[in-house]
Order: sequence, then structure tokens, then C-alpha cells
Amino acid sequence: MKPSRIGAATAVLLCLAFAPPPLLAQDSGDPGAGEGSGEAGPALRAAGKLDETVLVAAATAREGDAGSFLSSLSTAFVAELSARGIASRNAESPASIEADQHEPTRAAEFAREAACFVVALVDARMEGTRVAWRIAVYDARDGAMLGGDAWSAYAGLSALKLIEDSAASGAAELARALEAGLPPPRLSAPLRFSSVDEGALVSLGGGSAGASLPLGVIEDGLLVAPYLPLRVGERADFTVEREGSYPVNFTVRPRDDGSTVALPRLVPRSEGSFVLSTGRGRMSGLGFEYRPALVPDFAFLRLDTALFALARYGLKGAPWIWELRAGAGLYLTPPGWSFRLGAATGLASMFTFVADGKPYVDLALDTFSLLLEYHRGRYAFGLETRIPYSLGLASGLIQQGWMDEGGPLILGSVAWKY
Amino acid sequence: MEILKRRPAAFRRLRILALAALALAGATCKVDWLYVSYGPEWLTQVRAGFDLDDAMEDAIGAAWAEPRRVERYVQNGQERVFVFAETERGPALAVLDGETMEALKIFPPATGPFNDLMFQDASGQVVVGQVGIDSSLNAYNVAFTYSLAEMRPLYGFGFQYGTDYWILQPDPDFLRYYKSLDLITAPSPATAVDYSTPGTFDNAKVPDLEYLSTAFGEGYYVATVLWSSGSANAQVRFFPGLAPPNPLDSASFMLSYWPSRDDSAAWLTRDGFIRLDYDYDDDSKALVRQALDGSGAELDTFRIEDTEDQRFFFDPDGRHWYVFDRWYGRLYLLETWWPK
Repeated sequence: MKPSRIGAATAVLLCLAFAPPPLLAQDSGDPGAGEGSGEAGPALRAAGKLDETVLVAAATAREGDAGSFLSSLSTAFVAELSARGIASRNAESPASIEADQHEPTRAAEFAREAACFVVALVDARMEGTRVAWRIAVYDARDGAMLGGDAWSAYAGLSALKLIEDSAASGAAELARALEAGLPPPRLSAPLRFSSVDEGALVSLGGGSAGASLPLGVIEDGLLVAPYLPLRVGERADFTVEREGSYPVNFTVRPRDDGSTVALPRLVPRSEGSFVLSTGRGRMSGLGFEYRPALVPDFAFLRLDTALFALARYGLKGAPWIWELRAGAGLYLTPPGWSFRLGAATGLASMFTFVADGKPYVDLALDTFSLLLEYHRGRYAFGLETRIPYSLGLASGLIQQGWMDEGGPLILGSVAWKY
Repeated sequence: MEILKRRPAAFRRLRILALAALALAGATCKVDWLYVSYGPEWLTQVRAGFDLDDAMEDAIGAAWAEPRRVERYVQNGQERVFVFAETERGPALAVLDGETMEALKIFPPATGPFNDLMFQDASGQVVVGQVGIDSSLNAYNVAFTYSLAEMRPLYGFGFQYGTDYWILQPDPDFLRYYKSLDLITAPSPATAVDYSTPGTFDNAKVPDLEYLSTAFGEGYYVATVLWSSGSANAQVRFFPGLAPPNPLDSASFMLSYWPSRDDSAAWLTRDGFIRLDYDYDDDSKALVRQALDGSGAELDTFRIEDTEDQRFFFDPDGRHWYVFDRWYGRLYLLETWWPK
């Protein structure tokens, strides 16, 4: 502490030692308050962290020398807070608050009465010829200690200097805590999970977090978990799993507003799927594909038939194309992911009916297809891009070569998985 | 509550990319883009078809048939497509419905002789070679289309100009014209006008007359192909009138182009001059449309995969064109690809 500040504080303390403490903390607008106040206050205000008014609760039933030292301690602490730009006010002591209560509990009681949550408990008492004092600042929401100081000394004028130092130390520690931001409070109620996956087990942890703690299963779309002392907004990892589905790990930042955590849908294990598709070059038509799994949710066969018209000018007179396709493919991403990437290859035959004539017959290697699918429950919504290579049959219309001169063949699809 | 799913950052980026690609595709999506064909591009333009091989086989027992000229005319308020075809049995004519391409009548070679001279006069009858087809699809002989002086049928481009009938016919040295007052009187005398007067076509021959059209504008567009030793040139010229003498150089130059050896590789339509273009660099073929306003500016192109097994024809009104699939013997009616 700098000399100028010490001098000013000492003078104030000496004056206030014999006067009743102020009901409200003073603002540090006085230039004589010292250099320190001029630095810390604006910095904190700029940081937007001065919203918390500190409730200074001095101990009751201190008389005589103890009362004087307590008054000095309270006054010095309020002055130090003010010097740091931290608003404060003195607490009134409700009769219901007992002096011998557990300190965090007392802080919570004060906070409830005063509708604030940063509470400084200040006390001084005589122990023989010595005076002992203590400043303890709590976050009353969860009892976390934000700062404080305690000391004892011979009960004389020399103790005032030490009391003043203690007040400065406690205030500085509180200022640092406020500057760093108060830790979020803990949840006040158990977490609630909602899900459409009836019977799914929800666990805390799991996945890469390792061991998990089962919290319960979804019943009637809801699970009220046992109380977890999680802080509001802090990440917490959970796992949801059910037989016949792939487990999903997810992270929650809980809020203490009573809202429900909506669980991600589980992706069921499937043995195959039926797919409806349409796309570029075949807007007037549909494809139907049977996709049995060779390895569930990993490798599959494709048996596809599609009928569509090149109806740029309407269906009347438009050529019709019937395509039969067979092939195989596999997924490149884990089955539990909602978005899945896959690749396939195969052989396609196309029968083109133009103007009621006999069909043209083409054959193409469906060399490479790229699949991008979004899986949701039993359904999957997909995009597929194909690059076929025509074999150029004499009976057909398509010359030998890559069938990409008109741009990529892109299909959109909806699949039902069984 | 905020849920953060445990997924790799790369996957989240992929998802964002996929959504961005979808948004981009949606924003730039055009109907034409959706109706692409993975066969020949002309397949998306098809409106109707006619199995010429089957029809000629059924009607005259011909094993094969190939159209030489396809023209669209209106008779009795009905649009009809006249197809002059060479067949195994000789030149024949098929008259089709202009919308459905269903055969209205097949005229066997015995009705002829037919040739590629084809035009419609003011009364609505269509002349094909030496045969006139009236609106009831009755055929009768037309003497005018036969040169008594030279003892041979006339061919080329015919039209009615005022009350007279004219035929323009390319000869090895001249672009001749024949004139008659009616369709049943032989032209007298058969007249030839030398269109290759000195000037642009000095010492050049006019061996080929690509196509001519009277269907648009006040006047006549004529495409001429000039072959000389080791080089070739082709031009489209516009004749505002045909009052003789009318040398070729008096016509307005519209555009020039590099002619193809294929004599069915250029067409005149109301919406522009169309030619078959072959790009040797990337082995691609396309139909190129050029402006007929004198600039010859390229308007658009239409990709063609195959030309060996296909023949193309265009209506002068610019609304339709035709693809003949030589392999299957089918003639398709198509919408033209440019905006109307």
C-alpha cells in the first residue's frame, strides 16, 4: 500500500473510530482517496464486473474495545472497496441470523435478506489483551469464498495499522475475484432429460470421458436425473444408449432455469433400407432402391430401379427412361453419426423409350458414387453424385465414355431403414 | 440447455460445406440444369417421333428409308410435316401430323417422281418433285417441275413469287432460275441466269445450294457453297427481290462460314443460321447458331454427340427441328433449344 493512501486511510479511520459506521459504502470519487483507487476502479468498471454490490455485515454484540476495532475494520474495508470502485453497503442484522452460525450459511441468510449475493462478514473480538479480527467474503449463491483476511494483534493503536492492512488485503483479493469473474453457481435442481427414445439409458460421462455413472432411463419421454452438483454453463459429458441403437455421447452446458435437456435421437442399428430417389436429369420420375446390408450399417448391396421422363416441355411426347442398377457400397463414417459419408460402385442399364418406339438399350459402369446422408431415427435423407461410364452399346443412344458432359448426376433420396 | 455433440471439427466443417453447397445449388439452380440428359442432349428436346423404317416397310415393303428433306407446311389449318425419303423401293413421301408425327399418308414411289424440290404455293398445295399434294392429300402431276428443254426433273429451291412460280437450281457453273406462270405449264423457255458475275464470286463455281427459305422476312436467304481447288467458302446472302437480272453480288452479305463436306450440315431459320461445327481439338460436335443480321455473331451452341448415325433438319420458322436416327430409322420432332 502506498504512503499517501496509508495516510489518508489512517486519518479516516481515526475520525471514524469514534463515529458510527455509514449505512452505505462511499463512492471513491474523492481524489484524496489515493492513486490506487484511480486505477482499479475504471479498469473494473470497463470490464463490466462491478455489478455486484458487496454487502458488508459486521458482527453484532461487540461492545467496548471490540466494538471500536470492529468499527475500524468495517470502515477501513468499505473504504478499500470504494477505493477499488466496488460498490458496497452495510447490512442490517436480522434477528433471525445467529452469530454462531456456519459462516456460508450466515452469508446466505444475509444475502437473502438483502437480495444480493456477495457478502462480507466482518468481525473483531477481544482475546485477553489482544484483538483478533477477520474478514470473509462469500458468494452466497453457493458458499464459495471470494476473499478475506484474518489477523490478531496487541489491542492498542498499533493494531489500527494492521487492521487497515487486513482491510486492504481482503478488498484486493475480492477485487481480483470479481475481476476474474465470479464462478457460476451450482444447479439448484436436478437435470431433466427429454427424448423420443423410450427406455434409453442416460449416464454421466462415458465415451472418451471413460467410466460413466448411470442416471436413469427415459420413461414417458422424460428422465429426472439425481441431483448433480454441476455449475451453470459448465460442460458436462453424458452418454445415451439403448439396445438396438448406437450410443451417442454429448455435452451439455446446463442452465438453471428449469428447462429440459433434449437428448439427440439415437441411431438404430439397421439390416438394410428401402430408398426413394429423384434428382437432376430425372425430375419427372422416381427411383426405388433395395439396399440390404452385408455388414450392418457399414457395407451394403444396391438393387435400384428408376423410371423417369425427360419432361422439359411436359410429359406429352417426352422420352421415358427405365434404369436398372446393381452394385455395392460402404459407409466411410461411424454408424452413430447423423451425417454419414459413403461410396458405391455398380453396373447400370438404361432402356430409353422415345416416342412409343422400341427402346434403346444402354449399359454403363456406375464406377463411383458418393453418398452423403443425414440419418434421423429410421429415416435417412441423402444426396448422391454418380459418375457412370457408358459402354457405348450399338443398341443404345449413349456414346462410349464418361456420362458427365452435362454436369454431375445428382440424386436426392429418402430412405427407410429396417 | 445447450447441447454440444462430441464430433470432430473436420466433420462439422464438412456439414457446413455440405449445407453451403446445397444453398449454392439452390440459389443457382435453373430448370435447364435439372433436365439434363445423360444420353444425347437432344433427347431432352424430343416432342414426338415417327418410325420411318417401319412405316415404309409396312406401306411399300422397303427395308430401309432415309429422309432427304423435311419441311413443315400448314394445310387446312393443320400443321403437317412432309418427309421426302429415299427408300429401298425408290423416292417416297410421308405426310405426318405436325404435332404428333403420326402418319397421315404415305405416298409410294409410284406416285412420284419425288425429289428434294419442295415448296408450298399460295393455294396451299405442296409441290414435291413433280407431284403436287393438295390439302386433302390428293396427289397430281406437276409439269412445271420438269424441264422439257433439258429432259430432266428440276430440283433445288422453289417458291411462288407474286403470281409466278420460280425454281432456283444450282448447276456446276450457274445458279439457274426457272420461271413459270402456273404449275401445269412447262417452263418456257428454261432460263439460266449467271449469278457468278465478277466480284466476290469471280471465277468461282456454285456447285451447291445449301438451303433457301422464304418463310421469314421480305426476301430470300440463300446459302451458297463455293468449292475451288484446295479450298472452300460458304456464304449466306439475302435477296430483297428476284427481279432479273439479279447477280449474286447484288445480294446482301449476311455471313460466311466454313462449309462441311456433309451436305446436310447447315440450315437457315428465322432465328438464325445454324451449322454443324466440329471441334477437332476436343473431338466435340455442336450445332452453332449465328445471327442473320449481317454480323454473323454466334448466338448459342447445342452439343451433339453423334453425327454419323444422325441427320438433322430445321423448320425455317425456328420452332422445331428434327433428328433422324439412321440406326433405328426413326425421325424425331424436337423443340428448338433457344428462347422463343
